[in-house]
Amino acid sequence: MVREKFSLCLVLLALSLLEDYNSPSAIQLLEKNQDEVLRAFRKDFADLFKAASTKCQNRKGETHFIGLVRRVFIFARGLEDVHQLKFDHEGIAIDNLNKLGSLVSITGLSCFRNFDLQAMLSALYKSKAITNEYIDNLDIAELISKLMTLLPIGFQSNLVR
Amino acid sequence: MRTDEIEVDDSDWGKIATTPGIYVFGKRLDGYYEVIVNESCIPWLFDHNFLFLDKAEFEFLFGHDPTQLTKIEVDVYGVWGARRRSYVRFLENAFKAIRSRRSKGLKLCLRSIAPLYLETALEWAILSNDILVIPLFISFMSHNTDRH
Repeated sequence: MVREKFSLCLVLLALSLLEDYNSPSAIQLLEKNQDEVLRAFRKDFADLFKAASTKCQNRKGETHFIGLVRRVFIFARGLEDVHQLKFDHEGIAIDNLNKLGSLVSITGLSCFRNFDLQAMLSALYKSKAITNEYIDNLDIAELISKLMTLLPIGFQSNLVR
Repeated sequence: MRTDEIEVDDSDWGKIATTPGIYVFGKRLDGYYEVIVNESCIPWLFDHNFLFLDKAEFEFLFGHDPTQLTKIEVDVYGVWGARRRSYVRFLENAFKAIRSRRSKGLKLCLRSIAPLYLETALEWAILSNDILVIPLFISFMSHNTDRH
């Protein structure tokens, strides 16, 4: 269940970057099963070494990114790690959202607000990473509200049901 | 620890390698093992004929750098090549360590000995492992308490 909730959060955060939940990018995302959604975390030491070499050691940015992901994971009832809770409060909301979206190869310009909850729910039902039973029991407005409180990704304005 | 002193049949090496609180981190090209030891195991080590460390050597080990270059590697690969190899070896050993045991102490130790260059890679390794290897009891508790 931890992995399912974490996957749900990643899919929802990534979808929110897109204006159209039926766009090719959205469909590609929704086609991913749970293993594919979590693929970014399957890097081995050689991949990480390569990343360390090519990213010119933007340690502050990477620490911030790790902090964002760890918070989502803790929210999904995953393990805490006090060493990974540091993040830069001056980070720009849309950049933070794009960092999280990049984990599932999604980038976009939409802010994390002004949701059409029904459209989002319909899209989530199509996701192969989350079971319909899970979505049936989901209070999506509450989930979005909690993610907004937890992460510096935007300000809540109105949630249209 | 020199490999030829501890791999012999009549040593307690087998016990060491399987004792909780002791983790064999890696084998170096210069004939030494690197072993991470919880402080509480040090008396146990002394009691089992591992009296090879005098006090000065022990204090030296607390400041040990696992990516320190060995002469043999520098001679073969040059300084930059040897440096790269030592970093890759550290990350590979750290990966194995993170995957093999869920130990806060071990993670703490890895964080304290990781070179600055690899700190971020180590943190990604820890985070990824936590995400992919979720203990059953956490999943069970979540299943029984979660209202999504």
